[in-house]
Amino acid sequence: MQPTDDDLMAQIAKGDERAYSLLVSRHLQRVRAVAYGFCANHADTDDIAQSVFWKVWTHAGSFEPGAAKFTTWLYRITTNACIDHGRRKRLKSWIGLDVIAEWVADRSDPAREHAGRTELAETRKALDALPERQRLALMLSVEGEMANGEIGAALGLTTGAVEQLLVRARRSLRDWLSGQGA
Amino acid sequence: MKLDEFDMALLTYGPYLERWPPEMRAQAGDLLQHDDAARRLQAQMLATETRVIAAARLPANGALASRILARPGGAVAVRAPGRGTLAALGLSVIALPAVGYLAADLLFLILAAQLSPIGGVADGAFLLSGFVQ
Repeated sequence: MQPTDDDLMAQIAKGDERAYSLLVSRHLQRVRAVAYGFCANHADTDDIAQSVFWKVWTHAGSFEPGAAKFTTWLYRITTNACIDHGRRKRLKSWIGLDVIAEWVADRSDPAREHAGRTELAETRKALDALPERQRLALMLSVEGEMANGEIGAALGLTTGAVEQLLVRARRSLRDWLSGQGA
Repeated sequence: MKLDEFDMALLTYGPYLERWPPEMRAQAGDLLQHDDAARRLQAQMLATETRVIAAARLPANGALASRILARPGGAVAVRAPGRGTLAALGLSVIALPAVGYLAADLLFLILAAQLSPIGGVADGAFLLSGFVQ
């Protein structure tokens, strides 16, 4: 039988690297998907994912299984890392450092170039047009498969507030994509 | 359940009925059995979310996984600079003489944050204070 996430966290808190490896392999892709949904840049996504799992390793002892589901805790770290990343990015933008960095990243990203010619690019535009909190709530719902109450716990919002974000986000996306012939 | 109530629930809970509140599932199921418009709305929402998932899907990155897993064994965890950081470093070499000491200070602060062991995710980041939008 596979150990639960809570079992693995208890082992990680004792310094068990094999448990950490299993936990990373179990959740890395979804954390990356949520982060990519937020920041739309491969290099930034991987920086965020790396910081998230470093936090998991260093703060495993503070995780309390009874207080929250592991995924709620994990995605709370992820959303904070995304927000933190967004703030640093805005500061870079303010002093103009982002221009060359983005140019280098875009030029060396074939997947992104390809997406530019497909409907994924339109979806990406629609996602990017959403306000940050709507985008995060939607990614946690769609990719993280979290219930609205869990998303609220991750974002520090009430369930009602999360539902308002999700209604707006889904309506905007649906309108945008149906306008594109989806 | 009326069509507009069904649509609002779709927007709130998404296209998968198993993730809806139990008391709404049966009513939604009844509506879907005899209402073409409800089925179209559900299919449209499913298509929308499928596109969102596809747009956020990334190929597996073995190097990233290795980097993450290498950290616990190391005495000091130092993040490898990404392309953006390298570009920033390159820019700083060119731009520093021109923009003076103030810009140098700003660059140093940003690069120091980028290269910090926890990638700028401060301990206090659990708090969502200042999270605007």
